[in-house]
Formats: sequence, structure tokens, C-alpha cells
Amino acid sequence: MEAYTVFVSLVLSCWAVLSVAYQFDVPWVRRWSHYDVFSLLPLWTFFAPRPGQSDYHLLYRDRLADGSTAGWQEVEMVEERQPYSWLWNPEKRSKKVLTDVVQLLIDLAAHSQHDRVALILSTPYVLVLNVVMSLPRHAQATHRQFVIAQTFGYVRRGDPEVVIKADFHRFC
Amino acid sequence: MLHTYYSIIVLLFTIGLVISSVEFLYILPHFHVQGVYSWRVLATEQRQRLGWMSSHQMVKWLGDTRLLTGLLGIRLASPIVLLFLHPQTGPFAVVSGLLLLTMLAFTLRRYIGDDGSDQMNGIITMVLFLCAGLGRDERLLYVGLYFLAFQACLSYLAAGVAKALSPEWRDGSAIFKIFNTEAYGIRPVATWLAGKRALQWILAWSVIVVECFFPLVVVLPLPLAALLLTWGVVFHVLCAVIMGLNSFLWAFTATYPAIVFVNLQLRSLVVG
Repeated sequence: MEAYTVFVSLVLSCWAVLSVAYQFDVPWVRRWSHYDVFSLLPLWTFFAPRPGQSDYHLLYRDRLADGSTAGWQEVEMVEERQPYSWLWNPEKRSKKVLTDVVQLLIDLAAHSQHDRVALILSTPYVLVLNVVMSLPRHAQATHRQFVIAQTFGYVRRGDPEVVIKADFHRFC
Repeated sequence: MLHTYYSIIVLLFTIGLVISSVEFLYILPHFHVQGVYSWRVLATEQRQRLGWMSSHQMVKWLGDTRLLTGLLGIRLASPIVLLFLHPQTGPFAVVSGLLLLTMLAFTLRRYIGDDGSDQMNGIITMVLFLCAGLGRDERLLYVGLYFLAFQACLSYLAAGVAKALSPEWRDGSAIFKIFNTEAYGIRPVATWLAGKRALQWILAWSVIVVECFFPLVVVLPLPLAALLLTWGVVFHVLCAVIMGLNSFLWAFTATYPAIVFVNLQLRSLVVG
């Protein structure tokens, strides 16, 4: 058999084994996933075991020079689903990013309960902060704070809750 | 005959990738400095993950919006070109290789926000390049189809098992909870499903059971296998309509020709 055929067969076989292991939270595979920058290890466990049951919203407010705070404003990250979304749905990307960011922040917050700095310096936090701080600001605004809140659906199953509350960050 | 399977795979894959690429071009502002995919932020994370493999030049290139537009253009055009090329030829190898490089670079650029269709598209691209592109041994075409069928079956099985282990899926409430969200549901469906616990339970368990038993598709008699694959198509169409997961339809059904091939192969081994 050709050497290249053997090589590819071996590569795909290893990939298959690693793919199976990755579904079952095998520790050494999960450790390697940090280096899987090309996302070659697939995770096929969609919407399970924890199904998504809330919508996340990004809000921010400014603190003014006189110490008062402006009202909360929501960052419009997603548009309403359209009748043609079954075919064309670019908005799903920003929804997914926000969902992923929130999940990462929640996990980080749980693991670094006494280390607020670790949370603030994390990529998900900085990513959201970057978006929020780039938005237009009140003329006298000196600081900005964001929160990520969750709501519980069309058929309301609870009141909105704050999931992540950031500190006030100073404008440069 | 093998080429026919690959032609259908490439066709379905191409439809999905073209839609996906145009979607990304539409949301290109999200990749700017102040967007959710800001490279100013993501570069730090990716550089850390890449370690010694990262270089200043590479990091700089990935932050260039013009390069990003070019990458998306190649991602859009390459699969269309593949439609007109024969597997295991030089041009197929070049175009599939270019597509693979583009996909890998774009994945590196994003880091966050990918979904299952992106993962499956990456796998299909790799198989197209390794087996139908660079390969000249016909056996590699077999290997590629078996691998795609394997990943497809694993995806449904893993999804089904994960659901079976979830209390919310087992009691049926997961279906309603997901469809009740603005992100993955629509109001008429959420309103209709609300309170109908028995129906929620039936829907949830039908998904769990079919997903868990989906891998049998490679050994069932063809009529039953066709039924399972039809379920798959309907399932993904409904996911597209209700949940807005339009890209899953194309990425996952693109593996179905491989499943059909493996079914015919395995059953011919048994029957003789």
C-alpha cells in the first residue's frame, strides 16, 4: 500500500479516536484542546446536557463627571428572526459569540471567585469591554459599566437576572 | 461511482459554505477593532495558544480586514470551483488545499462563536484535501467516505447520549425551554408548546432515541436506512426553520452520501 495512503489512514484513525474521547470529557484530551487552535476536535454535544434556556443581553451605563450615572442602554447585538432565517441568518453568529462569552465568563467567575483581576483580564471579559467602550458616549462621561443580563423566553418563566456585572472602567 | 459520492458531498457542502461565507462578509464590521471578533483582543489569546508557532507577521496579517475579505472570498469561490473538478487530480488538490488553508486561517482568526456546522465543514474540507485532493490511491477515497460517515454517526450518537443524560431532556422540558428563547426559538412555536408536557416529552424522546440509534444507519436494510436519513433531513430543516440553524442542514446532509456508501459496502460484506 502506498505510504501516503497508510499515513492518511493513520491520521484519520487517530482523529477518529480523539474525536470519541473528546465527547466523554477525558481529562488529557481536554487539556490538549486548549492548543486546538484550528478546532479540529469536534464536540457534538449540542444543547445538552445543559440546554440553553435563556437569552443574554448586553447593557451598559455611563458615570458622568459629577458622579451621577446615566440610564442603562442595551447593545443591539441581534436582530429579530426573519421568515427567511432558515436560509439566510447571519445574526446567529453574534448571538453565538455572546452566548459563548457569557458561558466562559460564568465558568471563569466560578473558578476565580476570589480573583476579580483574573476575571477582568480574561479574553471574554476584555472582548465585551472592547465592544462596550467603543460605543458612543455621553459628552461628560468618565467611566462605563456593563452588565450581562438574562431573560427567560417568549413565555416568561422568570424575571430578568443579572449574570455578570462589571466594574466601572475609565475612558482613555 | 466513487466520484459520484464525492460530487454530491461537494455540492451540498458548497451550498452551505457559500451561504456561510456570504453571511460572514455581511457581518464583516463585527471583525473590526470595536466588534465582537476584534483581533485587538483575540490576538492575545490566540498567540498564547499558538505559543512558539505564532509570529508577529502572522498575527498582523490576521488582523488585516482586507486579508480577511480575501480569505472569505476564497472560502466562497473555492468550493464552487471544486464542483467542476475531478477528485484525485492536480487542480482538485490545489483548490482543496487552498480552501483548507483558508478555513484554518479563518478559524484561527475567530476563536469564538463557532458551531457544529463549522466543525463538520472543517472535517469535510480536510477529507476533501487529504483523500480526494492529494491522494492518488483510490483506496483513499474509500477511507475518506468511511471517516465522514464515522464522524456523522458519532455526532448524532454523542448528541443523543448527552441528551439522554440530561434531566431536562429526559423530562421533556428541554425542547420547550430551547424553543422559548429568542436565540433558538420562535414565538408561535413557544406559545403552542407551552404547557403541553406530554407533547414536549414525546418530541424530546423521539430526538433522543433516533439520535442514539442513528449509527445503525450504516447496517440497516436500505429502506430503513433511507427512512433514518429522511428523518435527518427533516430534523435539520426544522432546526433551520425554528432555531435559525441554517448552516447545519447543509454541513450534516453533506455527509449522507458517505453514510449511504458505507451502508452499501458493509451490507455487501455481510450478504456476500
